[in-house]
Amino acid sequence: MKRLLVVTLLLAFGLLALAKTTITVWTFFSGGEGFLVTELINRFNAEHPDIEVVEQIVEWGQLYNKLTTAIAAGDPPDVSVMHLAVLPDFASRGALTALDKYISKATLQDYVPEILAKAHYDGKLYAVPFDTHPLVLYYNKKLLRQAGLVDEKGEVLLPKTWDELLSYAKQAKEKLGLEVGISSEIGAMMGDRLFTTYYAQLGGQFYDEKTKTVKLDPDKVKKTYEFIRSLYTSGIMKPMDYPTAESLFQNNQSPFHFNGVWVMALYPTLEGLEFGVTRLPTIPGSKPYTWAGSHTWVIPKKPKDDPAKIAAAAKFIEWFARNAAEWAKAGHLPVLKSVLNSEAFLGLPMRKDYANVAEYLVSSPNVKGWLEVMLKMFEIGEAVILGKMTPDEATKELVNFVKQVVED
Amino acid sequence: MKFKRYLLTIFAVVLALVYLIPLIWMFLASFQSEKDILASKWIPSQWFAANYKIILQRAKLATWFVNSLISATGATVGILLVCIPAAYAVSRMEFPGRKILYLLSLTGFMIPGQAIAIPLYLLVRRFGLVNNLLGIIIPALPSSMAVFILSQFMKAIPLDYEEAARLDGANELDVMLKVILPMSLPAVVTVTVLHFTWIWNDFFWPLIVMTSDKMYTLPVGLVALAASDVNIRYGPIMAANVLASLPVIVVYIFMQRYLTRGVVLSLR
Amino acid sequence: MAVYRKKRHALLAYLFFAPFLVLLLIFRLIPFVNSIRMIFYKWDIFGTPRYIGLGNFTRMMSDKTFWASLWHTVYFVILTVPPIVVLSFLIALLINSRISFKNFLRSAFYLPYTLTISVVCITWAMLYNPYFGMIGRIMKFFGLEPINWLSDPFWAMPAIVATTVWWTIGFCIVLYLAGLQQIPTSYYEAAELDGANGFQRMFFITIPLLKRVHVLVLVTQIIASLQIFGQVYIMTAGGPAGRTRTLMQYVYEQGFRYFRMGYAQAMAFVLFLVMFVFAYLQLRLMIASAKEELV
Repeated sequence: MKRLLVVTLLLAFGLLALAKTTITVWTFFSGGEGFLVTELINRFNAEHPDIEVVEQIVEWGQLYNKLTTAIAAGDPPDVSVMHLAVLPDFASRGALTALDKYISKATLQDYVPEILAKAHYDGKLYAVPFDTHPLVLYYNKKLLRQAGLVDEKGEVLLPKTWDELLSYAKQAKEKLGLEVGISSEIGAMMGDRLFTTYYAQLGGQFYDEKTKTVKLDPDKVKKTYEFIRSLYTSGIMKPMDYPTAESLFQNNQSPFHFNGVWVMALYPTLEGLEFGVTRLPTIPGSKPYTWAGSHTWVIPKKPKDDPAKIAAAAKFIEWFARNAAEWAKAGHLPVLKSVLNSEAFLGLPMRKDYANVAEYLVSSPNVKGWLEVMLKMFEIGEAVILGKMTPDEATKELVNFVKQVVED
Repeated sequence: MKFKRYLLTIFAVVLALVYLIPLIWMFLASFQSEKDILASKWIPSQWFAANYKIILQRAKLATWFVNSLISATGATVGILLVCIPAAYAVSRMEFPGRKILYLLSLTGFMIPGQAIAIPLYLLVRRFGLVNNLLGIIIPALPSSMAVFILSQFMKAIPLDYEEAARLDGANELDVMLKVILPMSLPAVVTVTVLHFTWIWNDFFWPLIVMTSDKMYTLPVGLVALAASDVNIRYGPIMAANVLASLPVIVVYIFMQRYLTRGVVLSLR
Repeated sequence: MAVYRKKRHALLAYLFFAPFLVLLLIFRLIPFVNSIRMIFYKWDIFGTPRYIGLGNFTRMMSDKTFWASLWHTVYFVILTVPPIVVLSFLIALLINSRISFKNFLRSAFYLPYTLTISVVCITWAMLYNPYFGMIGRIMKFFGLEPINWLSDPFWAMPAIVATTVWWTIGFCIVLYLAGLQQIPTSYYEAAELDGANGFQRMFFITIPLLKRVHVLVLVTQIIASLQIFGQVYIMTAGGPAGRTRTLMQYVYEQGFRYFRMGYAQAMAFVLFLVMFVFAYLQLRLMIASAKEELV
């Protein structure tokens, strides 16, 4: 009799173990970032024996294509990463599962306020943001010292305004005979992120609360394109792609570098690179707005809801957001106040230098069709930089295109 | 006269070497550290085999290679299995509707793959073959090019051989497999090499059909590698390129004799 | 007896042909018919398709990017095909002439053709890099300012063309070599006896007798070039500022990035119409030359 009991119990445990819920997660993180995600997933799996999270890495440029086709085909992953900017495109099509009843109130209240609002669509919560990644200014300490850009204490001079940045960059470039004063990729980095930063600093708005549509201020758009063009006509910047821009900076061939915080997973590990990071310069008199994107987790909609899977998926994404201090090693800023203020986060190298950026973040408006507009902005930005479009033409093009897409 | 020959030879050889410079550079760069590459060096300052180690450890190069191998081989074998009987029927058998079927088989030429990519994708999806190597193999099977090349060649084989075999009691299948097929070897080789290369090198279709990086074929995987991984920079990418190219180059060096012969014969 | 054999014969023939036919129907003809139907609908993969008649075509007419992409494709064909035909012919002539190392030469020129598109494009993209690519370095050596090929609105397409030509001519050279070897040397000898010099021999014997190869190379290259997608997508992604975006890439973007399936298919159809002309030509020529053979 006792034997039977033991066997039954063992069987029961065995069955319980088998009754693991498996969740597939799609991410586009590779390299240093990718490791961090995998580590976190392993930790989650260890702490939650009844759930198994399986990671699937999809190439960055292809994730949204593949996700859309998978959702339409009826077999999407249980969880996927998604930029906040693209959320409306998916939520508006009914492609995502609403998360309101799955995420705990405690977590929701812990969020930095602006972010949470953007994670909603039509009043419902569709995403769990776990970081924000602003654009920042990287500077090469060795080169700047060589160029004599130091103060009395021997500390490297940090540019606070755009004019200061341009003059320092010019000085370093000329004195050291470098190719560029600032290295940056021209499409996404300049056409969208720097554009948004400068435009916002000018006071430009993206979203008209009254009409609830995307509306750009043509005057300020034009001024922004003129500014961007001037960076290249002056010779301080030259058109290049992303790997080249990084390589030049990493190999001490460019004193300044525009990039997101995501490279903080890699740059500190590079030997021979002595660098610092700070917020982007500001237009004197304006608030120090900076572009920032945000990564979130979403739960795609399946033809038939599987409550067990959804609950498990929700548990994972909430856990991840709470443990984002680990993720922050990749450079991103956490979006939960408790994590942002934690020792675990602030203790990471150089975070203190740019954590203040979190105060004035600008991101895309919460409207459908923004992905297409964003990609168009890359193109228009390139055209302006290469002199193929005047700032005036570019402004008209952008404003018209936005109108077109939103009306579609 | 001999002087002219020397001159031309030297010119031709130099031309060929210049022509191969990109390949030579690719090979040399795969052994360079990033510093060397950024300094535009030809010869690496020290031979950095670590690039190869990095790429083999980090990237799913072997997986992609196997995927390409399976899909290209599977498709080529399948094409032969499907198209050889079809070509035989249309070129050496008499039956009502032969002309119509022959013309029908050529319609594939008129329908370029990319014009139907979208509906084909939706169809493949309905069959559940998305993210599956069969999604590459099966749609490739009805090849008008294969039927055309094979039937052209088969048509030209004199009737005598067939009649001799039939007198010996061979049935239709025997004739096809034991008489006609062996004599069509050059055409079969051409079809094999052409299709294997096409499918191996195909970029657009695998890009659409495969959704996870485990299922990528080599071309798609290589591009994904070059485009996204922040830690894998120039040296390892070149190492990946070299590794990806070696098998094909080796196969070519073996097959080249047959290839030219095959092309010559099918041009006739 | 004869009739029964004929019947079985016919059945067997159908059987042999059946797998091919079925697959052709399912994976070529049916999608083709669907592709024509799709043109008249608006569908974003999530909802249900909506009939809009010629709506996609009116959209196309006023779509600047469509016209630009169409032009870029045609421009690519114009830049690519003549060099491929001429260069492969000339190099084949060279290899076929009285020189040594023929095998080495033939392999050397064919080798690039064996590489995958990704390897070719990634390597060439690096060569074109103005900051550390080999081409830039060679230009500096000659005292020139390196051109940022792939980011230059004027040079980007020619750069992609150069890479394509380098990649493709290997195969065409083999075709020409095969054709050249079929020209009996007696023709040349006779011409030489008649006093014809090298150039005259080439123009009056070689080129005309290679007509079949010229046509084959020309037509196949035009059709392949019209479908160009991979090289541009990998090397410039259609940039800079969309200046190299080809029609096939635009179709891909509209269809697989923004999910305007009907619109994407309508544009693919336009491309198909252009290719149809050349594909039909190719077909006629192939059948004609095949008929010649059987006589």
